[in-house]
This record gives sequence, structure tokens and C-alpha cells, in this order.
Amino acid sequence: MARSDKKALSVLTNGIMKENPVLKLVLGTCPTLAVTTMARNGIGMGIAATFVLLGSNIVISLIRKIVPDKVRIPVYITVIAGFTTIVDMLLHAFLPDIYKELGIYIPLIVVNCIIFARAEMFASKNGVGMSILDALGMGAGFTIALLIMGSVREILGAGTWMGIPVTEKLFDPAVIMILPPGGFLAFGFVVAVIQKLSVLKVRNKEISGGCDMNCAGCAAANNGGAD
Amino acid sequence: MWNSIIKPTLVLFLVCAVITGALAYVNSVTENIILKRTEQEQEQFRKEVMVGADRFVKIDPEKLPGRIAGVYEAYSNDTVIGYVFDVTTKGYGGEMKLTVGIDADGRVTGVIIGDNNETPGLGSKAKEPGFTGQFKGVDATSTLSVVKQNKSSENEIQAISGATITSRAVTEGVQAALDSVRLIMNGGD
Amino acid sequence: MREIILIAIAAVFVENFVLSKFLGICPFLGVSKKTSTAVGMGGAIIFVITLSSTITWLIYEYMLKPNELTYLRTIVFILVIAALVQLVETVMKKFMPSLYRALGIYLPLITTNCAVLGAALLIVEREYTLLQAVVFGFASAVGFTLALVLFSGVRERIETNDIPAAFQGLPITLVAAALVSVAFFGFQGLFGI
Repeated sequence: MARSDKKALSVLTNGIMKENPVLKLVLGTCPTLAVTTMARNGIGMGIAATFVLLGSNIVISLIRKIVPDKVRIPVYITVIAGFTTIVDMLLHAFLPDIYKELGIYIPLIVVNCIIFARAEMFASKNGVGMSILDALGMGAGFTIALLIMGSVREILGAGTWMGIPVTEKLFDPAVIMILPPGGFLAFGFVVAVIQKLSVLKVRNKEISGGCDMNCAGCAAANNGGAD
Repeated sequence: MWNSIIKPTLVLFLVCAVITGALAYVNSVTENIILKRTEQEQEQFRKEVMVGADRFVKIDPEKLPGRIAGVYEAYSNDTVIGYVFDVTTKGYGGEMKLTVGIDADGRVTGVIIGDNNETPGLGSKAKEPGFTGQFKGVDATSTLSVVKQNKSSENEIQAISGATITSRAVTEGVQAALDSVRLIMNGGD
Repeated sequence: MREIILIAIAAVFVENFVLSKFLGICPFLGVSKKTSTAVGMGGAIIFVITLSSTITWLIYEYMLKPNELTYLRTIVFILVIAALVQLVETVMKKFMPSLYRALGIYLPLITTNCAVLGAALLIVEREYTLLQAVVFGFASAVGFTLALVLFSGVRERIETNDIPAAFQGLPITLVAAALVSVAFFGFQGLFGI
């Protein structure tokens, strides 16, 4: 009993710390750079992506035993794309402000490597309960990373945090931080800090930052994934 | 045969069917909500461009420029004080929706830019009163033109620096409204 | 005609997919320091994006729009792209084996590249005509390749420098990318766009 509880906890925290998808595995970098002009947008994207991740992990875990290996990839794509479209529609209807801010990056959640990687690495090999925890953990890790990025860029670039003026008396904002170059810069410094603080170095992949539709290779290279 | 071809195809087909069904359902639910909210926003815009109007009545005049998506008579105590136009125009990033108010004397009372996909920081500046304010007071008989340097007449609209296409799109939209109001007022209604 | 040229120039410089819209970052950051691999990746992307932009435009215009199924575009587009990449891979393997070997591992990666789906979605959002869509797709991919090639050159230089430990690997790459991005940012306002 105690052992499986411990395991559940480790699955949950895995995505936040040890294998933070953005800061350690370098997955999902496109939205990380694109929507973090304001901390609030970062949180919005994080939650939207977590929702998709949760949905797809659950469904894929549920049908994992009946999906033949041959069509596994189109099936995963369809499921993920389905949840992405649902999130898109729900945001449009219920949170139009966030919808307008995130724009085209909402449908792009479907190609967010994080989601496909977890489907392949975890949900297709584990039960629903664990898959839920994995999704929550990875989603939380993603959201936290976006929050950090968004906060750094918003505070330095606009002088506010969540819309509240913060640095008014201290210094003038460096607008470049909320422009594209600032995204790269912020990400670089954040990762540098993480690298300095942690023992594990960020994986420096030779080829692209992750997804090759064979994310087993990706995870194996990271000594990560589930058991 | 079953395992290598039929089963995979069937599973894939089933997954697609279920998901498409789910999407169709969510779509039908959210569509209505979105439509209702858009209509509320539009009503709000109409009130903003035609201050003093207490109600709007949609009319359906013939032969208006294609850009005009809707025309409303603005009433204040049963008198028509002007017209409000819903205009769609093509900006830099796609469709732009404008609300243009023109009073009974044929002068523009206000321009509001609604949905658009213009570049943040550039084309999106078109929403600001600094730009849209230029249209206020313009007469229905005018032909507007966009200039990049300082304007020399009321009929010249100064473009936003770095967003010429957006500026032109808005101007064309307002022009369509001006042309329309001439048609309506001359044709009698 | 003028509009087409503007679309092309804007796509390559002013709103460069990688440096301005952050589409296609993964391969951009991880690409090998060798310029030849960057060119290879770029070539493959140009081919796939141009083709996918055309096909998705046709599907959207003639199948989704008339049947009021536009909300299915995300699913349909990504499946089309996945199928397209698979097809390209198979064809290449059979008819251009040497090219396939050279590009081999990059091809499957293209499916989840934000740039491909991003281009298709932008085309729909901006309501381009077919010609505009093809030009936009092609030019965006060229811009992507340009950024990729430039960047591989930058990385080559960085490799020989003394880098503080915390910045080694990804961080210094990102800082370099920031500088290249600033350079491209200078294109804003070009030709009055």
C-alpha cells in the first residue's frame, strides 16, 4: 500500500521537477516562447494544455489494449486533436479574452510534443489512474514553467505582473522583453539558472527538441518516462 | 486478415467517428453561446458610436456595397438620428469587423474596430482613438484617401506607421459606409 | 501582383516563422551545428509546407466550408500533414534513396513541427486565395530555412568560445537566437508593411 502511494506521488511530481517538460526535456518550446508575453497568458495556455493532456491521457490509457500497433499513431493524433478542438471551442465560448490572447496557439496544442510524448511514453503503458497523475504532473510542470517565463517577461518588459504595476518606481520596462527576442533571452536565462541550480544537466539533443513520432527514443535518451 | 487490416481500420474508424460526434455536439452547444455574445457586443458598439440613441432597428436596403454586413436605423424617441453600419473589411491578418456610425446629416459619429487579427503593437493600434478619431466628422460626400505623412485635409487619413495595410483596410470600410449612407438617404427610406 | 510579393517578403523577413512567430522552434534549437544538415532540414520543410498548404487549402475550401465543418479543421489538417509526411517518406525511400538517407531522420519530425500546421491555420485565418496560400507557405518555409541556416553558422562560431558552465548547451543557444531575432526585428516596417 505504502509503496504504491509513494509511486503515485513520484509520478505526480515527476512532471514538475525531475522531468519538467519545458525546462528539462525541452518539449513544447513553441508556446513557451510565444504566449509568455504576460504571466496571465502563460497560465491560460498551461491550463488549456493540461486539459488536453488530461483528456488524451485518459482516453488513450482506456483504449490502450484495443488499439493495434499499426494505427496507434493516427489514433493518438485524432484523440489529441479532438481534445484540442474541444478546448478551442470552450475557450471561444466561455473565456473569449483568453481565446483572443492565445489565438492560433490554441489549435497548435495538438502538435505540442509534450502531449504526444506522454501518450506514447506513459498513457499507452499504464492504467488510467496513473495516467491521470502523470497528466496532472506534466501539466503542472508546463504551467509552472510558463508562469515563470511569463512573469520574467512581463515584469521586465511591461513593469507589471498579472496586470498589477510592479516596477513603476524602480526602473523603466525594457520593452524588448515582451517582443520575440525577449522570449529567447528569457528562456535562455531561465534555463541557465536551472542548470546552475540542478545536478542534472538539460538534455542537449543532437537533433530536434524531441518528437520524432518515436518518442520512445526521446525518453530513453532522457532516462525518463515511467518504469 | 482480421488482425492485420480489418481490425486496425475498424478501430481507427471508430475512434474518428466517436471524436467527430463529440466535436459536433460541443460545437452545437458553444456556437449558440458565441453567437449570442457577439450580438451583445455588437449592440454595445452601436451604442458607443451613436451616443444618444435608445434603440436600433435593422433595415434591409437594396444594392449596398458588398462590405456592408448590416445596417441599423438609430432612433432617439422615435426620430431617426442616424445609421449604424456593420462593415467587414480585409486587413493584414484577415477579416476585420467595423462599426461605423453616421448621423442624419451624413457625418461620421464614430468608428469602432471589433474582431481583427492585426499585428499586436502595429495594426492593432488601429483600435485606438488616435486613429479612429480621424474619421469623426467626415462628411458622406467625401472620398477618403490614406496618406503616410501629415494630412492636409479632412479627407486624408494618416496611416499608422508600419501598418499601412491595416490603415487602408479600415479606411475602405468607412468609405463603404459613407457610400451606403448616400444611397440610403438619396433613395429615401 | 504587388500583394503577392508583399506576402512573400513579409513571410521571409518581417514575420519570420521562427524568429518572430516562434513556429518550428524545436528543430531550430536542436539543429546540428553543421550548415549542411540545416539546409537539408530546410529543404524538406519547404517541400512539405508548400505541399501541405496547398492541400489543406483545397480541403478547407471545397470540403469543410461548404459543409459547415470548419471546426474539424484542426483534426483534418494534422491528419493530412501526418499522411503527407508519411507519403513523402515512402516516395523518397523508393525513388530518391540517397536523399532519403541524408534527410531520413528529419522527415518524421516534420509532422509535429508547429510550422507546418501553423502555416495551414494562418492561411485559413487570413482567408488567402489559393495562389496567396501557396506563396505564403513557400515563403514562410524559406524564411524558416534562412533562420535555420544563419543560426547553424552562429552556433558553429559559439562552439569554439569559452562559455560559463551554467550557459553551456541550450542557454547560450537561446541567447544567440535572441540576437538573431533582434536582427530580424529590424525588418519591421520594410516596404511599408
